Amino acid sequence: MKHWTEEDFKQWLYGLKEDDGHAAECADCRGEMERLTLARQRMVAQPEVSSDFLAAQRRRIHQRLGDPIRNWMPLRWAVSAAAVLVVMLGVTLHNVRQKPAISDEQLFSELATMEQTAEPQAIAPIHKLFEE
Amino acid sequence: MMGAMADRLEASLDTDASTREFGSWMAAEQKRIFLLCRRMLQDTGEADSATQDTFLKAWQAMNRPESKELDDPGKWLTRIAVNTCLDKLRSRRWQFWRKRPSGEDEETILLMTAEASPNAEDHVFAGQISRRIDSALARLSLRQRAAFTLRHYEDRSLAEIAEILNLDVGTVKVHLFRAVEKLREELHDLYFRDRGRK
Repeated sequence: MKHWTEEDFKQWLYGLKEDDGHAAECADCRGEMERLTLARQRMVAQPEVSSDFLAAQRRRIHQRLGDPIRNWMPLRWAVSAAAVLVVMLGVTLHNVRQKPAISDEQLFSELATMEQTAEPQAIAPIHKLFEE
Repeated sequence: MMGAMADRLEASLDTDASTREFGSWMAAEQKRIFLLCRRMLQDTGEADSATQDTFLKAWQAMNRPESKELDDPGKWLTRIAVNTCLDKLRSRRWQFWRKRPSGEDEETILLMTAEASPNAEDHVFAGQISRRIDSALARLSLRQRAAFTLRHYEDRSLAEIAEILNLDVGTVKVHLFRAVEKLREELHDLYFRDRGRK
């Protein structure tokens, strides 16, 4: 008869393997299952928690139940993110206004120069027709 | 005038009664929820905060007009606690400045039960292995950690874990299988180290 391996027992303990009826026939494996079940119960026994700590925790919960402002605390991240966005937007606008790519005066002056001097080169032969 | 006052008084008495009822339910579930949060978060301070958030969310949900009668309030509360812990674990990824609390603080809050182990050697070993398992939980993904904690410490069935985590049973099995694989060494020492000794 083939006994269960350590892997089989581990998977059985965590609900990943069904008892295939082997335990009913094999006293050794049945004994091992009982030992493991007991070991698990013993090892994962709940530690005691200080009663003072639990009482203080209950008081804090009761305070929060009656404190609607504190209950909005989960939204603090959203509020912080909105504040950061407003600051970033302000800084960006400030920079755009302070350092324009080209000043209005410069733009108008360039436009005026273009208007006065710019003549398409294609017009030059037409001018020659009228020259004597 | 008198009718309005009577209505107000009745409403306030109802609120007092429901607060008292909630308070006694909280006292009954508090330790279990706190330990579940501590095992998920590995941090007593964060577990304290998660426990408070859990009961606060439960209170708010119960006081909504559309709230329904619960079939299994314990399981429902567990689901809130697990989701609260998962949210905290997700936000922890950004908290690179976090420091672990000192072990002394944790020991004053958690007092290991001496009666749980038959002798001193086993008691010391139980403490060591449970600390090893606790730190090994950090190697697991969030879902693996939640599934393993619910199975290992709360002895929940796979169907219950699936319901709590809002997953199907097959997915829970996969998460648990991977968790057991990753904790192979710790589980070997937990269950098989002293095989044949007793």
